[in-house]
Amino acid sequence: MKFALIIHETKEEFAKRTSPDAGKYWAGWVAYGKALTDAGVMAGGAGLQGPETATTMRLSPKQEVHDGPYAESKEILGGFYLIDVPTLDVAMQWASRIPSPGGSVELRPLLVM
Amino acid sequence: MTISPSNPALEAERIARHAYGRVLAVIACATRDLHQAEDALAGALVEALQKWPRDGVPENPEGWLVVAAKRNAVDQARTDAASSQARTSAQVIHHFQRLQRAQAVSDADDSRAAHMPEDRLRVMFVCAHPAIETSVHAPLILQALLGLSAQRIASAFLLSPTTMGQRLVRAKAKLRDACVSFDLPPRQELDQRVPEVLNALYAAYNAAHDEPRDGDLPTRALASEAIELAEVVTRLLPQQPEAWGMRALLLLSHARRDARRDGAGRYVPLDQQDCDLWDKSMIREGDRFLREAAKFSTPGRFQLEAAIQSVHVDRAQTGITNWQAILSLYDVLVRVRPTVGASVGRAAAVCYVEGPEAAIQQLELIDQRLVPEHQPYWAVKADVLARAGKSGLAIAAYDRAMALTDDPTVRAFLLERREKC
Repeated sequence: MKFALIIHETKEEFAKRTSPDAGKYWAGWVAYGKALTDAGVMAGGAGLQGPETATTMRLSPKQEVHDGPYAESKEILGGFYLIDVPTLDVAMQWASRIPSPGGSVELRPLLVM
Repeated sequence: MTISPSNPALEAERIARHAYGRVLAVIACATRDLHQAEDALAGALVEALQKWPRDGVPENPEGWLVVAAKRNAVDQARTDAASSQARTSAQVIHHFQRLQRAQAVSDADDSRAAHMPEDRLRVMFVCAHPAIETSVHAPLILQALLGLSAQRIASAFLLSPTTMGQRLVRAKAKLRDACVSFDLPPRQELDQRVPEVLNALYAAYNAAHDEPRDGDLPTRALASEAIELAEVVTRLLPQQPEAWGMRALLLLSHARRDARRDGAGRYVPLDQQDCDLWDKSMIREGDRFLREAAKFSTPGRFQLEAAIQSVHVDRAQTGITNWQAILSLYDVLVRVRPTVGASVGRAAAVCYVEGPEAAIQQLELIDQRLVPEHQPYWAVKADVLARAGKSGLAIAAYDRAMALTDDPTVRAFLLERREKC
């Protein structure tokens, strides 16, 4: 079963990307990604640029475009991983190791298509 | 085949009812789908209740039900796989895997029977899974392992049957679709997850115990079955002191079941219960489990609550209630698990040890935002106010306590007390 781990970082954590601490910040993610790959569960994913780069389009009935993310919130959608593991429980183990203190992660099984 | 002596139809139903949780657990652990397992077993039960009264109850009724339910599960999985629901090859494979799992319920059902208790424990961990909302844990256990209908569970939790039904359906769909593990959690996670299972099981016992108020037979059996599940937990996880504590608590509380109502069906509070009506062998067993728990020297909520019950039932031996001991236990309990219920229980003990004025003070220390709908708070408050001679305030508190209970016998008892103010 493939799961998406959708990661929401705190603003403080996200700000580290451009701070003097950036080296440590990225090292955590690189190590995590490598651990997923080494365990043979990595099925994809990406880090995302900041919410200031986001454009949101509302679709029908009336198409609207606005500058910014889908919803303003205290947490920032930072990226996602796709992992291939046998159960939700194993996915939760991997999710618990995500190097984003204070943040949250949503686990969703992918549709079988 | 054994032919049952008395009423074959009733006997068949009793056996089928007793086998429910064990058989469901076997099927669910194989298919990893509670809903499908319930459907499969429901079909098998219909068949059993037609055949058993006529042909006699089979020697191994659980094995019989496993075989019949498995056949239904395989048939259902086959139908689903062949149906137009499976549009893509991945979906066909998905259905095929379900079919294989259904078929994997071992053909050697006798060897399977040896695993039955473990399967029930696995299902308890699934029902109390952290990915499922806590309020649904106990209802899931009541439905999956005790075979209660959504309607009866709803009444025990004061919800509409539709709402409860929807929550159960949603939870079971999530367990299936999100691929929740039906294996026991690994060692390092076990300690963390056991409390959720114990809490859910305790809530399930209370719901099973509380539900109909007339003390009819099926209710009794249900509470006993919840106690049996606690036995499964301690047998398979003997290193968990709180599991022993909870089992002790259930027994020490269940031992008093016959004394809670008098001959006329009126409510009798604990301190006025007739000790002769308490089940002494159940008390001895409860005390033994409490000692078993104490060996680990790691007290917890259930051990403390069981210890409080144990002091109460000691009255059968000594003729008096050692309120000082009860107060000391509550002192620890409010630190380990600071809840309104624990603080209210402690205030009641303070009343006996230090007098009603001190108890009133303790009640006032409780966060007042948490008390408006807490029935025991108002019942204890009314009692201590009455003892302190503050009739006006006591009457108001009795009114609130009466308005918050759903048990007519408790309401009648409170009214009687109120009239004495």
